[in-house]
Amino acid sequence: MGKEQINIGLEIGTSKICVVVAETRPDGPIRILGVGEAPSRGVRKGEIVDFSTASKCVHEALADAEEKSDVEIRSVWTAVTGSHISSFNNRGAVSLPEEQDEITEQNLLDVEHNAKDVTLPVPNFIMHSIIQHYYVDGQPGVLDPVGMMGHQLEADFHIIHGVLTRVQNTIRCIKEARIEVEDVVISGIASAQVVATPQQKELGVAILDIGGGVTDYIVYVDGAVRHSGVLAVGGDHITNDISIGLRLPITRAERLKVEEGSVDLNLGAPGETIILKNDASFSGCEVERAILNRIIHARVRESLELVRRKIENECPLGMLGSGVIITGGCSLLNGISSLAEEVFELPVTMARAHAVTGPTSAFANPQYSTAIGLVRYAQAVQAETPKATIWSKIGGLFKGGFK
Amino acid sequence: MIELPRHSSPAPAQEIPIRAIGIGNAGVSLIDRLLLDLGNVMEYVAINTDIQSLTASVCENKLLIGQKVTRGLGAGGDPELAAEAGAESHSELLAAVQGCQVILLLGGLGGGTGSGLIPECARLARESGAFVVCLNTLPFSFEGKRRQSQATATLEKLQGTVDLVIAFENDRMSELAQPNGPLNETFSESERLLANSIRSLIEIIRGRGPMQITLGDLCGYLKGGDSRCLFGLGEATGANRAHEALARALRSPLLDRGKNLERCSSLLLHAAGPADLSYAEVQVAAAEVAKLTEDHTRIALGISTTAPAGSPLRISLLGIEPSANPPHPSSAAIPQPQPPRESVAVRATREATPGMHSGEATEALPPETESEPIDALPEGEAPAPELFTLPDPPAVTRPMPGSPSRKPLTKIKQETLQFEPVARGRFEKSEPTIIEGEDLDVPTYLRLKIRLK
Repeated sequence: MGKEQINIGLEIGTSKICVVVAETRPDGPIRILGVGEAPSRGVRKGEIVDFSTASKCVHEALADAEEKSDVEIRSVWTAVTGSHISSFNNRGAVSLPEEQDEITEQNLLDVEHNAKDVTLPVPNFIMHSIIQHYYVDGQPGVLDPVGMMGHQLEADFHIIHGVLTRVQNTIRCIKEARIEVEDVVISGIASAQVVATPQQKELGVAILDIGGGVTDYIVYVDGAVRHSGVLAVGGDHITNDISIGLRLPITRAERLKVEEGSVDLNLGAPGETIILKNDASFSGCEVERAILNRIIHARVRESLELVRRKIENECPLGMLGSGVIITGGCSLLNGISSLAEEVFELPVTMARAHAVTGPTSAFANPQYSTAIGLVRYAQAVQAETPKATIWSKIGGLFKGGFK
Repeated sequence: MIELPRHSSPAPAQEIPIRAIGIGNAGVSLIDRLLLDLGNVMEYVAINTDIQSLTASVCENKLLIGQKVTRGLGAGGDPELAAEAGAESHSELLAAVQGCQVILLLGGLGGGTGSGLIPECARLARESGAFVVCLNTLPFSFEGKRRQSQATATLEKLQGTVDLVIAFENDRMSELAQPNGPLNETFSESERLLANSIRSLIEIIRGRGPMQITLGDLCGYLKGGDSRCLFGLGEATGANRAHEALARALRSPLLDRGKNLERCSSLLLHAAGPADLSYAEVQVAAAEVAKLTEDHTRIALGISTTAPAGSPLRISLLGIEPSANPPHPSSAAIPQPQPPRESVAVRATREATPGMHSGEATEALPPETESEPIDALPEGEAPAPELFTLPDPPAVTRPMPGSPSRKPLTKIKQETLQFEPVARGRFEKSEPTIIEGEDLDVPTYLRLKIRLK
């Protein structure tokens, strides 16, 4: 039983800023202590465009979380997203020295270093390099080669990179509130930590986190990340389409989307209208349900089809035995799962965070998937770090002992 | 009983005679330009009231008219005076327009000679039985309102008279040259564009290939009440020539990178290339054009493959943009007193009429099926061959496949929601999301042209 630790996940989303305070043990479930939230301003398509406004919102959300969880927040794990993030798969290879025939921890680091040795666009840096599989002397599908005999070690890595300055902006925005940032994680990876089970990842699954500003997607095949990416289209686009198509103010369009919107074209009686009541800034009007849903349907279908094409380019959809998981705020949209089933021709499930307990039922909301995922990521990293050092020590001993 | 006339089965290789008549100063200088650019592809005649401009012209057939009225000094911007001059030299004018199947009348509207004489020449040419195309430039707006209104008045007159009016706005042409470049250059650029469009027109009329555009089609597509003509021409060679040629054609300032195609009510896409022009290339170009146009735009596709091997692929786009002003009631809304030249069908009848009884003419009216026109054709041709042969026999027998010119032209065009000036809404100022060539910030239903109502 490991020591209990408080981990905090902070996601600066396009529509809201969400802080999850949770208690973790290296091997136990996550217990959520409190969730702080603040509406987000100054963020477009997952990225900060108005620094001072955004940092004010971050401050509000943190204050809310501290109040609800009764924990003083010092450092957070944060998620980043945005159209600048892209990924590719690369293979690294190292040959072991003549006198060595057993693979060590150091060889794994070498091969990772080798795989990461690629030319990126100048402003970009590698955010994550995720191991897919090792090959030992050409034998594929090795998961943990340390201790195996071999001379040639190869490894496939999934490498995610983004523009350094844009990531730094997120970090600086949080530091404005005098909070340290432990690490930044790509939103897609964070959500994947909690919405998909290891079994699903083993069978093959695509996870779509359709948020306010962007859609993060990540594909797991054989338990390893096969593909990931960000499509800078999200719920905001639906709202914007409604606002333009029905000539409504953005706030009214957003409310209409949440309350009445659906992607189902056949919903409601023909000619059915929705009455929008007037308020201080809006004179009220009637909209036809069919038109509203047509606008939403067009946008959602297009986005799903784009994601499908992007995934298909990297891996055949037939490899996704567990189908598609949709999370994020837009997964609450009426009818999206059947539309996604139609587009992907795969079973589609709506998901929220699993393997989480806590006094609040906040985690039932798919909008919090990313923030909870950050806590899970933190837990996984903390669980691995000491283990890794122990293994390398043992490896070192062996190495020394056999010489 | 269907009988194919013996001489029409192998299409006669003889070219349709075309005569370009330049009227007025602008017309004469345009004729000079055409002579230099195109050479002897057609006959040229220069007509003016001003002896100086005629003397300077390189054209061989010059016609100075109204020597008594103007004493060779020009009409001085007065169309009335030019019309008097025309009346004085009526017989010369008549001679100039006779004996040719297609007559292009070129001139600038807004001045004296052009405005005064073009309608008269057009009338004479029409009476002689020719297919008359008027290509005119409209004055720059800085030339004053009087010239503008003079030009508009002439244009209205012409619309009732000739088969096809193509009006080029000089204001648009000015975008061709450097804004602060010498005026001469602006004018010569504008002339060059006109010359190119004429060259394309000739190619379209004369071109032979799997999909021909006939004079009738041309008339059906490009006629339009008070409309403006958009033109673009592009040439390219190499593997990607279809795409490149189209891109160059779209680069014409009149088309504004293809944006203006959206406003076109009808559009003519003509591809002229060597015999190795492939189906895929035509398809690429047509698909790209279709993307840029509205659903209700009538698109005519013409292909000719007679260019010598190795010559570049030329793509011309001729579009008709309905005027922003509502058409004048005199010109568009009220039916013309002239026999209506509304569509290919009517046009065909008119051409067949001289040698026929009126009853037979109505029989030949709808060229919907292959058999009917073939039936009517030899009859129509036989009695009056010296006066008239159909401009292009296969023209009637083989209408463009799926030619939309048969659609009723009075169809209401306003179908889709007008584009908002700010279609990106709240994403106006943010970094655009462009994937697979689409700006995803623009509402999907607008891009896919999904009708909401």
